[in-house]
Amino acid sequence: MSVVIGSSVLAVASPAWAHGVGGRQDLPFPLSYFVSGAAVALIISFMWIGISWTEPKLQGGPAYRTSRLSPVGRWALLLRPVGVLSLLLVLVGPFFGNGFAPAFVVWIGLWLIVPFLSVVMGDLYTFLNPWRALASWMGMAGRKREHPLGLWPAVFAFFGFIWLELVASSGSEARTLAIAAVCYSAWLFGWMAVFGVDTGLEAADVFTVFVRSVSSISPFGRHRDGGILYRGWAKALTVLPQRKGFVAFVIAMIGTVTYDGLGGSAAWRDIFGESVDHPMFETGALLGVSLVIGLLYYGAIQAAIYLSGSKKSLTKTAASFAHTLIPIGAAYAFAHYFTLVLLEGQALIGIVSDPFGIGWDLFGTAGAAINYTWLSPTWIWWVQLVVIVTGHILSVLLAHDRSLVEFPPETAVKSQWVMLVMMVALTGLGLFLLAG
Amino acid sequence: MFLVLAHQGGWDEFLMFLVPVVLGMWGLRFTARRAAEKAREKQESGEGE
Repeated sequence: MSVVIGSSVLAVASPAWAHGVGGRQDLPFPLSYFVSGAAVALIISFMWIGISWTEPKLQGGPAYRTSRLSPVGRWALLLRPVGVLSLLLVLVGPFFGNGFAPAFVVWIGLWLIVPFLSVVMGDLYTFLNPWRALASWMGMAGRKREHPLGLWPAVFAFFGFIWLELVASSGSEARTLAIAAVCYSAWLFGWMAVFGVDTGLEAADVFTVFVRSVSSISPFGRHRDGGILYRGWAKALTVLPQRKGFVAFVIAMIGTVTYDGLGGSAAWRDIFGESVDHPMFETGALLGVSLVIGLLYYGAIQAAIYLSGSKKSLTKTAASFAHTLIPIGAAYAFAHYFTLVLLEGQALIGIVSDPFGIGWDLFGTAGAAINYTWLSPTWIWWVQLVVIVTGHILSVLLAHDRSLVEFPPETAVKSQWVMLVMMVALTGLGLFLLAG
Repeated sequence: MFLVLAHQGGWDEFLMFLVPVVLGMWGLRFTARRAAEKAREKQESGEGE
């Protein structure tokens, strides 16, 4: 009975799995007030940082403090079997029960909860990664040789994953997820076998690249000796390796969430009509929105080079500033999906008692129902607003700090004018999509 | 443009857009000038030492 109740609740909520919780029309003030206020906050932050921050302060990377351990600590090793069991759950999903657990594991657990927690607690996925655990148990080598593709395999996998989430009509079905997990496992084991576990995962595992990027914001990180220590907020962002495809990956982070927001908006349907539901159109739009974000970014970087009076290479400068977009990507994702985590995430309480959906009640929580009423729309909106604005202000700060290294000090602030305009535009777009 | 300015309330709406944009541009120019002055002062004091 409890399974039936739980299944019914999830079935009713099924549209939310793909697109978060819908927009709202009942903002406490008109949207234009919020967008204007956010723009003013960004411009004032830019002015304050530009005048008071005259030397680069973040470029040295993290300085680890041995006195402050991460809340993850050594307990993180316990996550390993959890990761392997989760993969197993997805693989056997089509053969047991109602198939909700695989969808939860992939779309809520792996895709949202792990990255969101990692922004605060440090990279949890390295410990959870089932493919790393299996490769380690199989005795595969850590690093064999480097490859010339940088992060492009992960960019490819990222779009494949997002396509499954946003375009494929069967993306939440247990059978589809099991097939995807088999294909993805084959893909990763291929890379790990040829290049070694670490090199393979760093190149081809979308979750490794994604979580490592967003967890660079976290004040906790792994020291060379393996311990997880305090290093300070956002300190690791500036020393992320600028591999090939890094810019594309960061842009894809923003572009895909933007597409998800746009695709669900009334304005999008008004403009493109019925074609918005066609998979070919959706695939093209997914890539097209990311391309537009990419062009905006390259335009802002080209303007920065021009305004600074330097003669730097566009490609190298774009790679140098790419990390500054990561807080925006993380903020977009969090603001867009955190309601999904707080509401649908409650299903975890029932899933731990009955992971296969076959009537078990291991911990007596199988019948736990989801409470959809504990979040007020106004409260959600304020959280989204604060997260979006904070993410963009952090990006402005990081871009300013990097500009002091890349450009002459007299023109460093001037070089960021167009970047600031882009960030104001992205803030406005983000708020528009969340409110729409 | 004429249609925007001519309709009732056109001027005040136009100013509501224009004034913040001009103020923002002024703010950016002021910040860039002030930062450049500081950088030059720092450079000169560094050379003087």
